[in-house]
Amino acid sequence: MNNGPSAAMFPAATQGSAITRILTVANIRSSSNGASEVMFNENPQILNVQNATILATLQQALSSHAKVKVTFNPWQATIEQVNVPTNQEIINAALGPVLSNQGKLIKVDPSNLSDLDDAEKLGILNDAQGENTHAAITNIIPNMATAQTMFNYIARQCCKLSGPYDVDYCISFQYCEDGCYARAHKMWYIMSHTYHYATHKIFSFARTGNDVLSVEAEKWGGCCINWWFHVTILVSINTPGGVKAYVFDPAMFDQPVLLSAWLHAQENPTCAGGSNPLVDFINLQPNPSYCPSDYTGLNFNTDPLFASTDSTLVHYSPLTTCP
Amino acid sequence: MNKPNLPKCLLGLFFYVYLFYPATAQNHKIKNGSVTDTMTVLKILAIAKQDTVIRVIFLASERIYKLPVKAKPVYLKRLKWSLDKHIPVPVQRAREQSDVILSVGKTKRK
Repeated sequence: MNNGPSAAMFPAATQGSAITRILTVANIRSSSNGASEVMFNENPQILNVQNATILATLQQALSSHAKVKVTFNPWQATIEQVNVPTNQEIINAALGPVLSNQGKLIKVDPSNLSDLDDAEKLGILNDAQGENTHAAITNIIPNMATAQTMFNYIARQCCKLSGPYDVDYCISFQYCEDGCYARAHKMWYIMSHTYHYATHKIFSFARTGNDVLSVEAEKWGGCCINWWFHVTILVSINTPGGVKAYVFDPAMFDQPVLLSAWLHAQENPTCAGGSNPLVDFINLQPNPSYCPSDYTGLNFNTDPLFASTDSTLVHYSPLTTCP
Repeated sequence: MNKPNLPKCLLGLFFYVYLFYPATAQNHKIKNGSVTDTMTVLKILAIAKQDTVIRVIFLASERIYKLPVKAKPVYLKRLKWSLDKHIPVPVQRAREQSDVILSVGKTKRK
């Protein structure tokens, strides 16, 4: 078998040199000449291993389904080095392409937050259909009772509650210091696949001067939390006063709340600790946007396979907000 | 058709969890009660004269981390290196809930 490289498989900059990637071992077998050949799920090329230590590491990774950081030379079809990747390396490898300058940037006027609660003005009534994978997605939740039922279902997946859970990994609502992007991504999945309702991601940012998002974690003991961004899912709910923009954020609330209430809760002056508690702007994003890829608040990583989402939820599942 | 063997299934499940857990639990290292995460710097915020901490933002985290201005200068140097090169560095904190950076380690070079 020809294990040699295909020039089209690798970018020109890497030709002739080794490549390091996060991979999972699919199979290890012996070739006719007695050498060991390794196949990876994420890589079409069969690679040769000479070093016994590297082979043992790969065999262990195969049996435990663990990811490995592999340095290999595609031009010689040889593996040069294998290491255990850090969590961050796994997350970075799992993240998909960056979404840039999509969505809608909205400057927040603290004196008139309630203007943001009008779903039609916000532009979330008609444009969610195309980005959801499921065909029968409904844009507007018919009433608050239906919304509360879905909210309660999502909140029941909290890691603090005893299982069994209805999702593969419990959602770490009980640890709201970090991981909002993973919680939001999982909530989007549940809303679109279980309930078939449209959502958006709503990101809030405090990145100017001494500004900070400042929250009192009332649900989890009342300690103070500061963020530079926060994200959750945004939905449209039909109410007697018209169709309103509500957020689902079980880490902060026990029910769906208006977008303005969610933003107001992030400007708690008692928790600012000398900084300025202020939401500078919000960014209404399509659901695939996962977490900011830089400090501008305009560009976002994606997580199409939910690998980073699940890894983050597992990581934070045993933690609590207020010790 | 073979009947499922409950003890074997349970043993297999236990073994699978035993094998799989380390793969997912390697999110952060715990040593002497402190935690170390390997993260990439997104932004180091400017400080004023009276500030006692330098605020640092990392990729895939909404929290604002704080490096005391009295910390070893090499820690800030490593954070700036991470920012410039977009390469993760090991960041140690006293516990998971703390946002204060105790130390910044070197990235292992291959």
